[in-house]
Amino acid sequence: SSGINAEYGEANTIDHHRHSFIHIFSVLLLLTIQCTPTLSNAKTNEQYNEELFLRTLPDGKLLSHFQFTITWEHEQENKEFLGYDNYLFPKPIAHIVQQYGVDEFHISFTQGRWNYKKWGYPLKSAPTGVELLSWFKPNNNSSVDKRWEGLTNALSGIFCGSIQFLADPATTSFPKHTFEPYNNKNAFNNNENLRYGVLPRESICTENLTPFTKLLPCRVNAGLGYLLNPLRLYDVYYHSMATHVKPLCKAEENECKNNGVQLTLTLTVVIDPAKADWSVINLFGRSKPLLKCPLASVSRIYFVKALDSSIYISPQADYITPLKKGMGNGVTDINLEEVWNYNLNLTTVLDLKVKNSKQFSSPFPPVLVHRQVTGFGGERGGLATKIFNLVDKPIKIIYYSAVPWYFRIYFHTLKVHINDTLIPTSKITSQKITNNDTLSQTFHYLIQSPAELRSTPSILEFELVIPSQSTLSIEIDFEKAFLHYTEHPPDSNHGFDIGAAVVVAFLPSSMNAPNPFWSPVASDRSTNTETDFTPIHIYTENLLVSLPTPDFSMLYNVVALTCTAVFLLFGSNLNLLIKRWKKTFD
Amino acid sequence: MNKSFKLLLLGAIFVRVLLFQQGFYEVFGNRNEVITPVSSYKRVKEGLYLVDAGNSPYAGTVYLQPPLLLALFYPLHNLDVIFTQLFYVSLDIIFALVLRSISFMTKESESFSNLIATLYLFNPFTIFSCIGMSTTNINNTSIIVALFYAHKGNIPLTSFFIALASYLTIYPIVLVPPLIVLLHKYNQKTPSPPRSRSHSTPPNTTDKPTYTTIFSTTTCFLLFLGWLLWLSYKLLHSWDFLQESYLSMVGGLDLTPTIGLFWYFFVEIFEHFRSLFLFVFQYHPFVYVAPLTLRLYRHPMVLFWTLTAIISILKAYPSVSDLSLHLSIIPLLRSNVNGSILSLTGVKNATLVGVAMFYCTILSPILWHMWIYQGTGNANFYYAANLVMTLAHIILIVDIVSSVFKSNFIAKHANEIANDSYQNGENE
Repeated sequence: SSGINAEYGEANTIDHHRHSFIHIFSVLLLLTIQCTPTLSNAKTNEQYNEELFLRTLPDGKLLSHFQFTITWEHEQENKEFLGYDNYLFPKPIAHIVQQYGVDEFHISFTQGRWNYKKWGYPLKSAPTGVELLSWFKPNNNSSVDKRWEGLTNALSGIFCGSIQFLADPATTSFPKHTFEPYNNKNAFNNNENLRYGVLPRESICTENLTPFTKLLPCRVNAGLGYLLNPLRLYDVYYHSMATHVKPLCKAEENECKNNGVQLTLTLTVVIDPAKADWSVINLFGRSKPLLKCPLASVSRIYFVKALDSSIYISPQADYITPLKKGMGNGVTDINLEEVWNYNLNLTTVLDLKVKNSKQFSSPFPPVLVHRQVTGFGGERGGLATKIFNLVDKPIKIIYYSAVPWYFRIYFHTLKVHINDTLIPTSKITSQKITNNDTLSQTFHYLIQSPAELRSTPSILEFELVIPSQSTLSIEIDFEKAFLHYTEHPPDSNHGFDIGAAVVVAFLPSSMNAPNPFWSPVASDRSTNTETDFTPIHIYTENLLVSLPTPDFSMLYNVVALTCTAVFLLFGSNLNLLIKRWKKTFD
Repeated sequence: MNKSFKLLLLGAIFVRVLLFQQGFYEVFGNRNEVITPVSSYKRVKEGLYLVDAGNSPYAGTVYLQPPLLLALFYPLHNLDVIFTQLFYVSLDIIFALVLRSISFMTKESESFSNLIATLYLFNPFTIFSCIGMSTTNINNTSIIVALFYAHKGNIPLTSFFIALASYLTIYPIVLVPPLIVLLHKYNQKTPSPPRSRSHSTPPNTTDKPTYTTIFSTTTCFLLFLGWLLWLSYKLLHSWDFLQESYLSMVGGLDLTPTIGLFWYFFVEIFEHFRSLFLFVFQYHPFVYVAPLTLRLYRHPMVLFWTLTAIISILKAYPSVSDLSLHLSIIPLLRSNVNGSILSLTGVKNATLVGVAMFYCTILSPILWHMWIYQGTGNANFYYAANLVMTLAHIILIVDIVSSVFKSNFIAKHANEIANDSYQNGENE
């Protein structure tokens, strides 16, 4: 045994030398491998920006908007995005984009309702529940519907939600003009490849946040991702978590050559800071200081300062640099990078003193929308939408609403009024009329697409100009369908949801009202093109309507009773027809 | 036409116009007992609106009726609604006048014919379906006009009107055999028997229709039906309507409650058995044609009535309009039992049936309100009223058919029975 040990010992020394050689060799190899990605990635460029926008709302609450942008760009155009040679861009998303031929998609998970009247417009609007909007590249091998089904299933896997129900034709609709793709100049921006689905009843929880944070390069360990504390993010007035994937292109004349993909992860919450003085770390329920994420090129916090509030940043207030252009009421831009460059351990404390709420800047939304269900009883009802134009300029709007098939919409009962004047809806076609006369009160187009039974929803989409200081009201009747007993959900007395309607308001850029939709976030700034009108999307409330239910316990009874009644007829007739009459009259 | 009948006609018109003016269309036009998914005027309006907007009327699954109905209402829908309402009133008047003529032709007295017409005009079911603007009225009027021309022995016109009725709702196809028997009977070149109600001699012509009658009627019927379908195709430039309207009528996909038993059955049936029961329920009305025709061809009016009653309770979407049709023909059966004066004396349960129908008519809206609006009842309440109504009609059908057979038997063995009772009387 000692001989063996001796041999082992000898072998050990030899192994030790071998090990050290292997060590040195592997280090050299790793160094070369470290260098080679940069060599092979000479033509691709990835960048990660993280930003946080804080703004106090008039009623004392605080709007926090996180925006994480990961960009992948290649020098050549139309380079296929293989998803192999990227280290910042998350692989699951890359895989989806490539496999399903997705040009652009936006998915949002929202809880709570955005109060447009008190809070103005959000930076990224979303309806309550889950919304998925996606444009597909044209492909002759597989149909758009099949890819839509694949996409919803894949996203359901990534975000741990039951999004695969979006593939059901009852929740999928086809807006023609409401949503325009980012890549307007792209050859395949055909709204026939657009699919839009909403699940109003989906509840959002921390299960959905965890995969979201996994897509960030620094996860929740460093950078602004550290502030994403699930214990605090769901105890809020409004929570919206969205993922946007857009193609990037080099604009050349009238064409856009696709050369990259941009992933934007946003999280919008409206929190009520319990105290007048709060700090960012405490607000999100964290205790340790904020560390810089080394993979981020840009790390910024923006804060809209109210008139009487004061901000203290620790370390020192030298680093406060007010932004100059188009700011509204004094935005303070704290460039974290500059701070972090000096101090890796950072605790940023923003101290805000709240005075009279009247002195808060109150956003003045030019367009407000509300929708309600009218009528009573389980037989019929109506939908009533009101769109208010509160400024002195006429505003062009597009209205889009998709109602599930079990609410049988009667389009001949559609009544559209502008300030009690009825706008005729008959004989308007779905073709777009370019009408530059903003004073004429007719539809530019009116798309009425009735629902198919157990399939596509009823779609109403139209474009109209609302005169200044006017109200547009839309009323339509529906009948409630009677469902087969298997089509009722488990809690059928809860009711069925009608998803939010979308109103796109084209606000003139030159409005005197405080710019409510200004987005200071750097990633959006570079892509804003200068146009005369900016479209903003406003979502209405989700509606809950109850349908009449059959008695679920009566299956066998009904079958037996009906068959008995029918057989009574059959049997008696049979008896009469074949019996021989006898003389029994005694 | 005497003065009192003219007054009654005017009274009927007045009642209907008054009810229309007072807005009772909103009440009756939305009730599930009066209108069904395949007979609702609201859906016709929706179909017309979709046509105006450039879509196909079958775009959503709201309009479920054949296309020629759209063509019928298209010129009227842009005008004031009063014109459509007058159209429905005139349908009722035509029905009453035709019914009266039929009873004339079957040798009833003038007062009795007037009575039949009045009973029809003031039957609550008739008024409900007229004010509710149910399109089954067009179907009913076609059937009764076909019956009228059958009594005249006019093959082409009979086939046309019954083809029109079959085109609108599929079930009147089963009425072709009784009409063939009637056509044969009234096509004979025999002198008509004197207008007396005494014991008449048995007819010296065979009751069984000849092959020529059968062949010519069937051919005319099929030709007219094909022509109507071809016209629909030309109107809409596609054959989609076959699937959208006729399959919807029998497919039972729209589960809106009606006065029949279908809706609840197909709400609750398991998916696994759905197609089996759909098939059985749909061919069931058609299964009665051959046996009843073979046994009742000597009494074509009874045969006609029985088949009408069977389809009106067993069709997929019944309503009170169908009930009003067969209830209005019952008085015509009186003189058709071998021409004797026996009438329908064998019917024992008339009171029961009448009371049950009255009871269900009053109770259905109350139970519906309890289920849908108040939420204090559930679907079983309404379904129970439907069951009772269907059972009442089943009792009525069975009763009348059995009384016809009994009367037949008695008439055939009249002498033997008289001898028997004489003997029995002797023995005592």
